[in-house]
Amino acid sequence: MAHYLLLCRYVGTSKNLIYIMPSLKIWDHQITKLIISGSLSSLKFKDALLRPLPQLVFYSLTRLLGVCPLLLLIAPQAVLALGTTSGTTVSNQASVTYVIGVAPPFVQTSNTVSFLVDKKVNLLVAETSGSPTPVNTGQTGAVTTFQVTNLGNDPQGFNLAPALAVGNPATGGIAPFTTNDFSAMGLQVFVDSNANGVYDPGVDTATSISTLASGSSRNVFIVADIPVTALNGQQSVISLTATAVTPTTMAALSPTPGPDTAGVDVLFADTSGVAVGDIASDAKHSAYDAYLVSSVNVAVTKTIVNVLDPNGTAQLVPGAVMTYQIAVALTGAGTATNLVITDPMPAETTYVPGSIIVAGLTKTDAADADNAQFSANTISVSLGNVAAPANFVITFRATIN
Amino acid sequence: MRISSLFLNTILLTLVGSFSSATYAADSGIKVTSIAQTEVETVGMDGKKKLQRTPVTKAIPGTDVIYTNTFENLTSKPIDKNFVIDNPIPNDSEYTGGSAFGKDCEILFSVDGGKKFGNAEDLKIKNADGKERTALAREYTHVRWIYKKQLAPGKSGEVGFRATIK
Repeated sequence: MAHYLLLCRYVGTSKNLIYIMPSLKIWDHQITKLIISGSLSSLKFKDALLRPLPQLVFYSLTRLLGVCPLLLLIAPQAVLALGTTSGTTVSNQASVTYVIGVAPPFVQTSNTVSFLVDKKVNLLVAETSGSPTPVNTGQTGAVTTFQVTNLGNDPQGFNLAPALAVGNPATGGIAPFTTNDFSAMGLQVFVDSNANGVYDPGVDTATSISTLASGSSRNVFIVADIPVTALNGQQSVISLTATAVTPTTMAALSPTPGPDTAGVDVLFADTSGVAVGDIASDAKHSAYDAYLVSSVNVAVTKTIVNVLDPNGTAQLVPGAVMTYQIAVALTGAGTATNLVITDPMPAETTYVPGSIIVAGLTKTDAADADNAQFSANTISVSLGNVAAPANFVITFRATIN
Repeated sequence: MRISSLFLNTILLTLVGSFSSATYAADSGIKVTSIAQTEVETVGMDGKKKLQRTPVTKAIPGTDVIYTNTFENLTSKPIDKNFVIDNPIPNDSEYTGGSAFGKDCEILFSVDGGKKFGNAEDLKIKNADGKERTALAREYTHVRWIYKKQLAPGKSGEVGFRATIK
């Protein structure tokens, strides 16, 4: 599956098609950034400018957008962040057209007043998932993902520094990142060189971003090991600090001292970050993420809770209807993702149609919007992402052949 | 003789730079001077905050720049009313909505590079789907002031607007 950045002008939407036109000016505010995942054949393009863009951050479609299977529209204004490149001369000149008596009109122009656009250094480091990375005790190479965005008006390089949070970061951390129970080990930082959103050992080897265009973002991974002493439910908070530097040479930047000069001044416009010492206007920004030791135990217990035979008694004889109960219990900490319970019917029994009940609610047998189905002689119940601790009860009935 | 006096004038103009446009305009009638400024918040001796205009500082994307055009009648005759001052929006800049000012002026805008001018609410932009909508301030390409009075000899006025660096 290839990922493309399409620089285009959004034309309109009709039925299931989105019409777009290529654009030449990427700072035009009418441009819509479309990130496309999957087949392009179902889109109609008119001379679309398509190019693979390795430096583009790829957002998971399933995470951000569940409605449209092919397209993700990022807010059109996002590209505005690019801004006019430093050193550009902005000029103004007025003219006046006037008449004295019956004479033909005179035209007089003013002087041209101009100034140079200064260099704005600004960046943003953000944690991408909004929740701690679940890990196992003793896990090696556990990955957390950040995003570094160049909010300045010029291309910029970025040095990257991973660190353990000191104490409990009571302020600045987003809610899940405020408790710090253990220390992750061997922190390393890598840039998502192929922009696929996934850490690829041996491929994503760069430890700094040599050049990032104005308005562009790059994924950055922190890779660390989890000590065997870390207990279930414990968390290690880490931070990533990015520092804007001169592209390629990675030389440090410094703001132009004193009053504004006639030349191109360097201005630091970043806000303060969460890491200790990361103040505003220091060409740095930082964000927290965390590793959370999450061991979820799923216990499934199946019992026969009722039998009704043709004679109205509870004999296990042919024709008797049994009520089965499957109890699902999640213990520990963390989240079980895409939890699905399946139960094939024993050969000597026949499922009673429409008898599946999940957590007190009757479900249909069809593979439809409800989370239970009966097909291929098997009951299947999708519980989705379930945070521990949790309990579910599933019941269904079957007749003894 | 005339040539040598012009030559002398040129030398003077070179020496007294800021005076140059005034002298030149005196020959033509109206002198227009354009300046660009930014506002800086300062705290005065009384502790009150006030906005002070300075030559453009911190000219980074997002900075609002104030452009002021001063016009002065340097002729010996009054300038007829309804004379027009035009100002294309500077390059790499977006007009700031509602910012144009000018006493005794009707203020019009253009969204088509100065071909047509109209009131803000009358300017339309055609979307790609063919539907018309009212133009946004940032889509203006020109500002026009129509001075509604006579401008007597020696009299001056001021018009201007703000534009944000893109």
